[in-house]
Amino acid sequence: MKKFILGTLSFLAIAVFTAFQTTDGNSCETKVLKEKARKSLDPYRYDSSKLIKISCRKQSFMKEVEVPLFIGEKYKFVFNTEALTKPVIIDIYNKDHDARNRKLLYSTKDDAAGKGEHIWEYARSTKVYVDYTIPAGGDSSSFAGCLLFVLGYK
Amino acid sequence: MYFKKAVLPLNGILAAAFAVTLAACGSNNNVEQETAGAAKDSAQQKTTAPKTEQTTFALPSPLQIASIFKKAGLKYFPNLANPVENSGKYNSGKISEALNLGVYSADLSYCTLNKQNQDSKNYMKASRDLATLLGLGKVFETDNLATRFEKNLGSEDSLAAIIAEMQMQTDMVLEENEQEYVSATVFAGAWIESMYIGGKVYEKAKEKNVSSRLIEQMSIAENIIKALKAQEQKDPNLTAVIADLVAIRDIYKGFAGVKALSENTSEDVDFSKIPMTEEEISSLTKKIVEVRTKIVKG
Repeated sequence: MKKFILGTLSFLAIAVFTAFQTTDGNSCETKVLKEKARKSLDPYRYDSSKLIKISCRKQSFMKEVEVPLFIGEKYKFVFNTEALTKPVIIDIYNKDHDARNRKLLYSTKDDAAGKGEHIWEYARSTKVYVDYTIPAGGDSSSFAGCLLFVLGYK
Repeated sequence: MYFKKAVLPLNGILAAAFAVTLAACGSNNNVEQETAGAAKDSAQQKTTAPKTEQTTFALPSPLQIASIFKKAGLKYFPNLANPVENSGKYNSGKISEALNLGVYSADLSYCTLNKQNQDSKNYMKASRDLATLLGLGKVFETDNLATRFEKNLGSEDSLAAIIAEMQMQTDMVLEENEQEYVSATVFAGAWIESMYIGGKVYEKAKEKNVSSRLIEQMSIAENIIKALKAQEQKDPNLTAVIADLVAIRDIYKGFAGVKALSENTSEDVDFSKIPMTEEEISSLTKKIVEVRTKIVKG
């Protein structure tokens, strides 16, 4: 009986601990995400990265990352979206969001839902602008996960 | 008897665990409700363009800049890089440490890509010392990076791959600790050092491709300034760094070829093809030398 009670107590302790773990706030397994992205970069060499923690707001909004490139170099853009709980659209333009006649170079808009990784190879511009469109999501504290962008060159 | 005594606390624990589990599940339900609400909101807002938050900047790695200069024919000249003996001087604050970590990262890349094994080893040690001061010492222990670096001396490609891996680990640690301003400052130091080396080598060898690459690099000066300005409140010493970078950028902006560029062109500008006079290049490199001297003095 003693064994039974101790076993039950241990089980409950683990259950309580796990319950608290699943409610943990704004954190992501960045190491795991980076490792996956690093493998996807191959044979390109790591250049830079941006981890974006996304919290939804009442209204949809956009985050923009300006990426300088050099003519004559080839680039690979790897976006890992596995840690996102809401669909974020990734668009890449040749000019920033204020420019009137900017060209859309790449978009994940038509990619299959739930696709955890998006890859784009490019070798032309001197600058590109990565726009993340974050969907509306109720109150401002609703954490929607992390998006990792890793850039490689060769 | 034992069971009777134990059953009461057990009931309490069971009730508490049940309540906690419910609370956890409740949170998940809330998320689902919010998601459902979000979908509704999203449908209602389809017609309005989403607002854009402040733009952030992805800055290239010092290794890539060194590699671009190398491809342009940048030769190796000994004694151009900042002497490793200076590394002990940089302990007057985070910004000086970060700038000089950048300087040594650029020197490390320059030596490595030019197969200078002993110098590479020395600059790796100087970089490690400064990184440790900045709390980044563990990066060099990850996957035995420092040991692997020493074992691969002589293999330029392997060393470059290890430096790239170190860069990734460094970026990760700084991002996790929300210290992007340190990351931007390290890059500012690396960029100044790369431009300094490029300018000095151009003075000695007059390689046309190198001057084109120097001018091309000016296209990212604006990104460094913006990245640092966005973080300026994190450290009062950043203001002086920004002012120096603005001074360099303004010299470049005053060049006739740059002024002639139409800002509204729909085509990508190949910065390396902007015509420059010898005097213009000389005025730019003079300012870079001045700023670099200030940085390495500590």
